[in-house]
Amino acid sequence: MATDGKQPDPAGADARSDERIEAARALLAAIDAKLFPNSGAIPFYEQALLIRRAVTRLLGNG
Amino acid sequence: MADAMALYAEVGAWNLAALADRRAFDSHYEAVAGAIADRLTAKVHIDIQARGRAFDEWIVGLASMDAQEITDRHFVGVCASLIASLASHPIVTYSVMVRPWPDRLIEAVAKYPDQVTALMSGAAVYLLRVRDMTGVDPSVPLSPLIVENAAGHLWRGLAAAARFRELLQLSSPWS
Repeated sequence: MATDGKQPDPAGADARSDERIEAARALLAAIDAKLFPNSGAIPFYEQALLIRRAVTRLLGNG
Repeated sequence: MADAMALYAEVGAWNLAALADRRAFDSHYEAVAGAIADRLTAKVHIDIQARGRAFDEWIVGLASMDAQEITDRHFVGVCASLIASLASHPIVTYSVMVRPWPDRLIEAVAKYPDQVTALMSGAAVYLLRVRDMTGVDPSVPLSPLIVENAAGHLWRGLAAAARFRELLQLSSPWS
């Protein structure tokens, strides 16, 4: 719904969203490259197990 | 499992950059929420639209960060902004199926489900990378009181997300 006489621009909004995602991805990749150069990519199934283990440990002292 | 394998095939392996993909972001959150639910013997309910709003908010925040001269502050900031984005939306609830009495952790999670899950989500990113780098787990098992205290701080103000390492007693490899 336009309130200022302008028409919505969904294509433009999508482009801005894509640009933000690319900027975020570039930042995250730069952090990995700079701080964790020896850390390899983790297969997703292994990552899920590692997350579960980490969360279980953090919440483990019940 | 089929969904996880499809995600693996499409997105590739997990790294920080993969979290900018909505499916990987969702997968990360579901792994965390699933682990919490297992710990409590609970069922987890996730509002997908609210989680999508948190993702959008996180991406906007990251996109506005200065990417020059990367330091550990950037990494900690990424984890903190993930926590703040997730904690600011009503995404998750847990239905406890068995209630051993008394269980302070259950009470803490029931009181602050979004805050506890947000803290664990950000901490998980931090832990995966730091442990991989140092070979040492930077975390210690937390008492329910500490979990509740951390979540309470976050509930009272999202600025507490920046203190997630202090609140969760995570050690830092950086001086």
